Amino acid sequence: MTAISNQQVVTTAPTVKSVRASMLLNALTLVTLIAVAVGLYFALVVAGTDIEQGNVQRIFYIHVSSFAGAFIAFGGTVIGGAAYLITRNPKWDQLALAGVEVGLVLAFINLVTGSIWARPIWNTWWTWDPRLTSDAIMCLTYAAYLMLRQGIENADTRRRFASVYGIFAFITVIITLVIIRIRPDTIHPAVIGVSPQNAQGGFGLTESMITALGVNMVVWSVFIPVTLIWWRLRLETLAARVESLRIQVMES
Amino acid sequence: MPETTDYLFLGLGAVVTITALFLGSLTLRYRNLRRDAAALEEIMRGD
Repeated sequence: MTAISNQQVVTTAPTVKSVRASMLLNALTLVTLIAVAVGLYFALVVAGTDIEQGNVQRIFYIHVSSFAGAFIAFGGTVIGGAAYLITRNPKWDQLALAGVEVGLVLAFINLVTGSIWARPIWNTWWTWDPRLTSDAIMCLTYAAYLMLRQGIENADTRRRFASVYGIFAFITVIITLVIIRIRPDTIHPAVIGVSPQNAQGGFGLTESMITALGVNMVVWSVFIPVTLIWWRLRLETLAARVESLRIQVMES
Repeated sequence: MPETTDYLFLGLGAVVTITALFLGSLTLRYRNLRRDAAALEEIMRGD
């Protein structure tokens, strides 16, 4: 169906391309759901139980992997922001926005699962440790991105501001990643490599644990962020179409 | 070995809840936009 207004034609019927994209997205979603189930199987069944921590250690497969997913999603924001500043194509800004939303969800999962793991291991839900503090700052920085976007009326200004902000916000992700290597006073254990001297709750990885971590890293840093970002982009595409229709109705 | 299974389930519950909230928010926003698009198309058809 087409509607004609002010010499402009808006095609609202789904195109062959959009139908194909929908089918591909549905297929990817199905594969992601299966991948999540496989990841959980490896985390809950295949991986051996840690003798010192008990079953709560299994949270670590999601905790670590969800941060990797957030890293990828926020990386998408950097790519989207830089590409928008170069090309001025709004599609790149949509990618940047989708990356922030999905990254924030994954970062929040990382933060909450870490807090739950800490309760029996550190005997507290929260402590102002350098890693935990930088992680919280990272989440707040990206939450501020979403709030600040809402406050800018002009679309071009909003996109330019968001692009620059999204690129610089990635510094908080890098700091969160490396802080346990540069701050010896942290109690947060390192998963890969030597833990800081004050680390509490560290553990040695057995072969089954490494396998479970590897599987979940792929699930959480590839399948989940890509699928969620694609769904979020689809929403943004629809929002752009509604906005275009609204302008045409107002002009007619 | 300490008994910490309750915390594992609490963590899994938190993951499910956060994910469900995000997916619910996506679905709700998508539905609202579809409704808006349909209403705007209706107005344009009437013009």
